[in-house]
Amino acid sequence: MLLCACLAANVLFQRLNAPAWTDVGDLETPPRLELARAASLGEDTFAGYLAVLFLQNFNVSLGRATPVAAMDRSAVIRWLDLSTDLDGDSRYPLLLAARHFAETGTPEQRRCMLDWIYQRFQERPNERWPWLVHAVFAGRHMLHDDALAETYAAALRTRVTDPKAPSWVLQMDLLLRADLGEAEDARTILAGLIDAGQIRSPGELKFLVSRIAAVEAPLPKL
Amino acid sequence: MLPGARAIAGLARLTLLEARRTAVGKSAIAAIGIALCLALFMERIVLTEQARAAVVAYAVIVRLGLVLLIAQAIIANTVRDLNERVVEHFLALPLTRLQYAIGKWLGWAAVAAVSAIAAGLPLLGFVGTSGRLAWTLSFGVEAVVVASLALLLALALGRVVTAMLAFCCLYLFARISYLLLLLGNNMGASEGSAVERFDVFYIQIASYLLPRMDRFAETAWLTGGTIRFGPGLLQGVIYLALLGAVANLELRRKQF
Repeated sequence: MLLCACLAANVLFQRLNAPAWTDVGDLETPPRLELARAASLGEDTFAGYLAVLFLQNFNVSLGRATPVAAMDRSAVIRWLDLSTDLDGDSRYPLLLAARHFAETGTPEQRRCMLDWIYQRFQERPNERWPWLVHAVFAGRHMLHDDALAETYAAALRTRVTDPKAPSWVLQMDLLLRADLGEAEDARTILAGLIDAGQIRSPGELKFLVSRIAAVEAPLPKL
Repeated sequence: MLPGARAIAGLARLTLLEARRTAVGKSAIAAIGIALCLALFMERIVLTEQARAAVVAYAVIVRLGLVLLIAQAIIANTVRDLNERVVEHFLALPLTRLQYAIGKWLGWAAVAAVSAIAAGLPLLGFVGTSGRLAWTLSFGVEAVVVASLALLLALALGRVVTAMLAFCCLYLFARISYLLLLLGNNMGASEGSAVERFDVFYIQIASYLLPRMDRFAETAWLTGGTIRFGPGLLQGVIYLALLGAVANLELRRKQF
């Protein structure tokens, strides 16, 4: 009898205190770098993954998704900074910034994420160039901000020095300017690439020259 | 074999048998299995670098899990021996107190080393991971240091909760003492108020009494980082000798 009464009381308590849905709160300031390091017992890489997983799943709380665009981008950047500072070798924060946060939201929000990628690229250009390449694409075709795309493409040409990087990374600036119809600039960049020994085969040279020539060619008469 | 050495070897064998009968081995396998499952879960939820994230998660979880498991097993078994007067039965035999402690230490050190090697075996399944052997050996050294510290604390404190709490405090502090020192110095505590200077001084003194546990089994070794096995090994040898000296003093003090 007592057992049944206690069980019934517990059921009643659970019924009266049913879990209530609460909207996702603000993405607050992440813990300080030193605190995160100490809390993870010095396991920086693991802490970096945990920070980035928290950020990745923040808008999908308890199975209900809220728009990524609603997340405060300055807070997102602070979390991405924390993860990158904890584990500089990881490409995960850059992937999230480029493919998750920079592809949603208002143009200002996207530009903010691309700027973060650009800043972090400058620390390790030879390792982080793939994400700036994506930023060039996003700037040109998603934001339609040609000046921004040119800035990023120029940074790729001037900062990436790893011989293992594909040659098109350095040539992207040239290809972009040819695409934008800036034949003179493209020719100058091509001369620079040739002088620096960055054109590695006659086929490459022929292709790049043909792209510039296509810009200079007169439009066919209708 | 000398009678003393034979007695020590016999006691070590008994300790191994006791570890087997109290399911320490099965618990270690369970801890490794749980760590592996959590690592595979991590592999499924990350968007990129799946293998790297999994190996990092496995290494971090299995290291902490096995350290706590080994310490708990040693403290519980040793305190039970003390409470049930098993120690006094052994000391009725032609066996000195130091020989008793060495015999127990050898047995538990073997259990710790085998557990560490077992923890290293699943790393073979992570293709392309560097530094697996160095990580496993270094973790083995760390496990032996942990076993020694737990045995000493159990003999000195004689209570499971007190000894386990002391072990957790000492281990956690030994893992992060270098971070606290760096933090204190970088934030200008060395030039701050008297209280701040005292804090840094206190942490510095405390870190001198403990091993640098962060030098063992660094997770960065498994992700292509530079492997520095020597400092950890040297730290292990120095601290084992220090614990041995402390144990000798403690056994004399207690007039076992």
